[in-house]
Amino acid sequence: MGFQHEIEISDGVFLTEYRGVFLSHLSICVISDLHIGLESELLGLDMNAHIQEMEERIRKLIGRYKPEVFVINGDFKHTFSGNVKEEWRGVPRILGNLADSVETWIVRGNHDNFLLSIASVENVKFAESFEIQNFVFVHGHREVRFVPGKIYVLGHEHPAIKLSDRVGGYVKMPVFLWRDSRFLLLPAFSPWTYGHDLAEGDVLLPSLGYADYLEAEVVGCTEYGLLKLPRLKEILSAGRL
Amino acid sequence: MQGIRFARKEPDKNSVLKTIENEEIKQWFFQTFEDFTPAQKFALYYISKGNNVLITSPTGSGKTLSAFLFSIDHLLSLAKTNQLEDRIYVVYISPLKALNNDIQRNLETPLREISQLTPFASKIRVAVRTSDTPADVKSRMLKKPPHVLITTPESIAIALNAPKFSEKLLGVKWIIVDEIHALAENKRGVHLALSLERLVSRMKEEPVRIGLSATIHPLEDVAKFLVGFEAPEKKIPRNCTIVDVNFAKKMDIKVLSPVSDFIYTPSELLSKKLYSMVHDHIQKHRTTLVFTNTRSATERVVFHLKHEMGNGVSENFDEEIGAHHSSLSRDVRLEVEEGLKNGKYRAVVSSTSLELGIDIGYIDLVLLLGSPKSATRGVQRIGRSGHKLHDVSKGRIIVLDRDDLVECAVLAKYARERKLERVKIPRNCLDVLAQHIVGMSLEKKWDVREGYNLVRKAMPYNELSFEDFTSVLRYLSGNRYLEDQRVYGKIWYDGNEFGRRGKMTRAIYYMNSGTIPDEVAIRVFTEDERRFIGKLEEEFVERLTPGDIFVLGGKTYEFRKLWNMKAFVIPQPTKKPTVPAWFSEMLPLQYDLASHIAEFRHWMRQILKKPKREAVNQIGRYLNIDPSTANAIYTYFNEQAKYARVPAKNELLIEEFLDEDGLYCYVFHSLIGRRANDAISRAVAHAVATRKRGTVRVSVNDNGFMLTLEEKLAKEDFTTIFRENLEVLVKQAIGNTEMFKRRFRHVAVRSFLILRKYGEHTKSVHYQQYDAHILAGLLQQRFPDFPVIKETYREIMEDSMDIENALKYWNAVGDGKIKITLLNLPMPSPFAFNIVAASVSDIVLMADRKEYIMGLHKKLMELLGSETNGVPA
Repeated sequence: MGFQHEIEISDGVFLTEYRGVFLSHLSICVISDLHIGLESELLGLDMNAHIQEMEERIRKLIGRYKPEVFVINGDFKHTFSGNVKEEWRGVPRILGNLADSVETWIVRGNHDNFLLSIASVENVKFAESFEIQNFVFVHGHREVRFVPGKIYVLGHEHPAIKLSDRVGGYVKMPVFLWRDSRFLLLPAFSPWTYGHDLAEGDVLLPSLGYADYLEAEVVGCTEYGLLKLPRLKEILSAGRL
Repeated sequence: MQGIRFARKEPDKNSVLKTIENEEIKQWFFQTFEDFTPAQKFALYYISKGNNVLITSPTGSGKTLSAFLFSIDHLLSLAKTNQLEDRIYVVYISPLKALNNDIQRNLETPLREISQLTPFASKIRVAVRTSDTPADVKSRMLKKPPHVLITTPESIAIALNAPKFSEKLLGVKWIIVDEIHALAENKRGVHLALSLERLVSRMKEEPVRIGLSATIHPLEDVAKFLVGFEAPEKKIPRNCTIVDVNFAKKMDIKVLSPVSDFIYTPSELLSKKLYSMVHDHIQKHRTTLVFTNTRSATERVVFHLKHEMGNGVSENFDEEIGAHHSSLSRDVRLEVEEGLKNGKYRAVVSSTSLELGIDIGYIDLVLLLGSPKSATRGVQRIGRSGHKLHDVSKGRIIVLDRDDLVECAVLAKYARERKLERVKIPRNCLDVLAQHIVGMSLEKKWDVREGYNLVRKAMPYNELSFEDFTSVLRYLSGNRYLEDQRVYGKIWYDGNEFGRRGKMTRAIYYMNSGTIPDEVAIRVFTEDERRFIGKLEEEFVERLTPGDIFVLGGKTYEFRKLWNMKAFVIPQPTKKPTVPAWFSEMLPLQYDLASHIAEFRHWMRQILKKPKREAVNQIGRYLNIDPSTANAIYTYFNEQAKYARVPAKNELLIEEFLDEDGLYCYVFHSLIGRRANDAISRAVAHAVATRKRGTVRVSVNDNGFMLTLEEKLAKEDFTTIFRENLEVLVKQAIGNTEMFKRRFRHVAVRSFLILRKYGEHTKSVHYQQYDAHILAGLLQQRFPDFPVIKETYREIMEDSMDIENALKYWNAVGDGKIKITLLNLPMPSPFAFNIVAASVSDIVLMADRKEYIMGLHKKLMELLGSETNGVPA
């Protein structure tokens, strides 16, 4: 046990070191929260190292799993009020490569205003949510009615945890949360978002409560691979290590 | 005449009188004052000769008037002969905006009074121009410029690039820089030095520069800072005459302790005794100025004096106590300053804000609560009392614990002897340089060598390398660096010449110039009622983990969570803090004073061998303190000697003990000042973390530092570590810290890499910090020589830390000139108490991040495995 390339958290549900999930029975890859255009907040700078990194991880996901469908589960882009030039450039760049090789579905997130005008590429489908067999892909910023028996794949939260040592050091990492075949919460795919520390005790998703998180199993993402962690409540109860 | 020289012989009155042309000015002067002060005689004499002058003298010596008097006389002569033109003749620059208003009054009153003697004086116009000056006033200033312009370092830099207004500055004859001691040691001063060179380079005739300073050392360096270099490549400074009349003022300094025993006096009683001592002194004097070292302490002292000590002085005691510190609004501060001048207050309590030379009227006592941390600062603060030149300045330092007692007693000895610390002027700051290069490029097209030579005339850049200069040009022009992550070029540069580029550049310069960074404060609320409690620094909150107990405003709280730049807490009045308090606003002990204390410790080793009575007598005589204070020092050292040992001058004492959590603690008794300790502690911590593959906690204090870790260390570990390269270790230790990223933000904002304002947008500090996080990482990886990265390291190591003195000490330990003694103790020694209680300054992780994460993961799984009896998957 240690750093792993992938973890099969449930039958056919593979969490991967590229911060994306592969559902082998459906041949679907899913990622969430790319926030392209975030760099426009960097006034006077034009940076795209995060786009390069995300492009690379998408390439590796497709290369390793060869999915038939690729799902972007919301917050593909960042700016609410329109499309900034970084989005005009970045969205087609990512999407162009993607749609060339695989059927792409885009779930609408709360940041995805005006996305259609920059993302109309062939081979791409848009929807508020997609449902296939027992999986539901939805961003999660709005109320979701959970139907028993279905597994909800969610984003929006940017979940992360901190592990602290006794002396006072800590490491913070984005995480996947998996709850008993009920929901799978994805980490933000963007390397530049602040993760939301789950120890803070609040939940951004309107349909879930903190108790749901506490019971969830946690898998951490690091630059060295995935780390299988216990349930969130157990991590928190352990305190400083 | 070239070079820096001291004025020795006081000019006689007649030759001084001859420098003044207008009878009305002489008449006014002798109606108002009895005679010239020495400062005035020197100043008038040398200014009239056209010399640059640096005047250092205490409060009440009339140095501000002396700087103006000659120029007023000249302007009056011009007015009389109808030759007074519509342009600026005198520029007066001060670091304080409030002071400008004060000066305007002090200048306008004399002018009004002189106008009554001759109507021509009313033709001389005076105006203030700061960032608060409304646009319409500025545009009127352009049509009818003042003859005397009162301004700040920031505003003069912007005025330089105002195309029309800057022309009005080109005929300036006198430039007065006030409070130069408060500017020389920071980037505001560096910024000003370059502004002056840029201004002077455009003028046909060099203006006379007049610097006014409180006590500072060495004056030669400050003089060079004021006047700059005539021939930078040959290091020939412009001429400057130094007028030092500080010797004229006598000082009566005493150290007082409120109790005879700091250890066994309960803290409530100690604070009661302290306040009654302060109260007694206020009662016995007309007006008392009280200095604390922090803003929060100022508030606390005022609160106690008002609420507990009101009786017995007067009915209005409540209103006779004022507070003055930099967090208070400008209006409140001005009101307090007015009140002081009018004699409204019995006492005013201040942190550092009243150290500067606002004219505060009659003060007959200065009380210092706790050490001012340097003899220079002690002299400056105490020098605020005794209004007339020949009055004695009276200062009392009230000490708050045993380390404070030793420190202040030693400090008072050196303050009396006027053995002052050396001021350190920051050198080669690339961020300030970047701002000015943008400003210069807006003026005209420059030949690179021409620009380089101009910059090197300013003393802080005299030793700037040509490579560093061109690296800033390359960064600003967008060349080479960040090719794919393009930073928009702000100048145009082809290797030989540089100049203006883009329409936005002028606006960027106006909106973003200056050197004082925006600060990030986290607001703290209770979790249930969302009640506002106070503010914490971001870097402190960053380290908190839910469940940690910390102190804010004297009360204990449990940290719950951080959300949206707000921290939520639960009051836990009975719990003991798990996180030490944070004292970042406290003044650091200076290296020179620390060395004096180390020497005193060494001296005490012999004294302790003598019979107690004789020892106490000798201590009393040596430090000029009363027998009970001398006795307290004797007792303190005697305990230390019996329980552990008093370190010798050539000895580094390290003590080892276990804390309550079973972690190993190592206290280093390195008396080299806090800034040097900051450097050494991080270097040792980094080396230990690398060797032992674990996390090391660092706490730094004025008298030493402590490392806390899970593993035991041996003496050999330390001796080998001190043989490594200090600068390399420090660089490795700080490169990846939050502190580095925060400093990087300040530097990046100053360098116009991150813009505070751009077009219509203003960027919050939060986003500035966010940018800094991303940029600092990227740049360090790809372009370690990027000027903004280089400057961040320089600022941390040279300005924030004291790498120079740290290096001397480090090498002395490495060479064995200073010997390490490792002492294993069941509990910390008396000398270590305050170090143990010091705030955490850094957490150093092992360099191998992968191994670190693995280790944490393993511990987590083991812990849960043993608790649940389950076997982890």
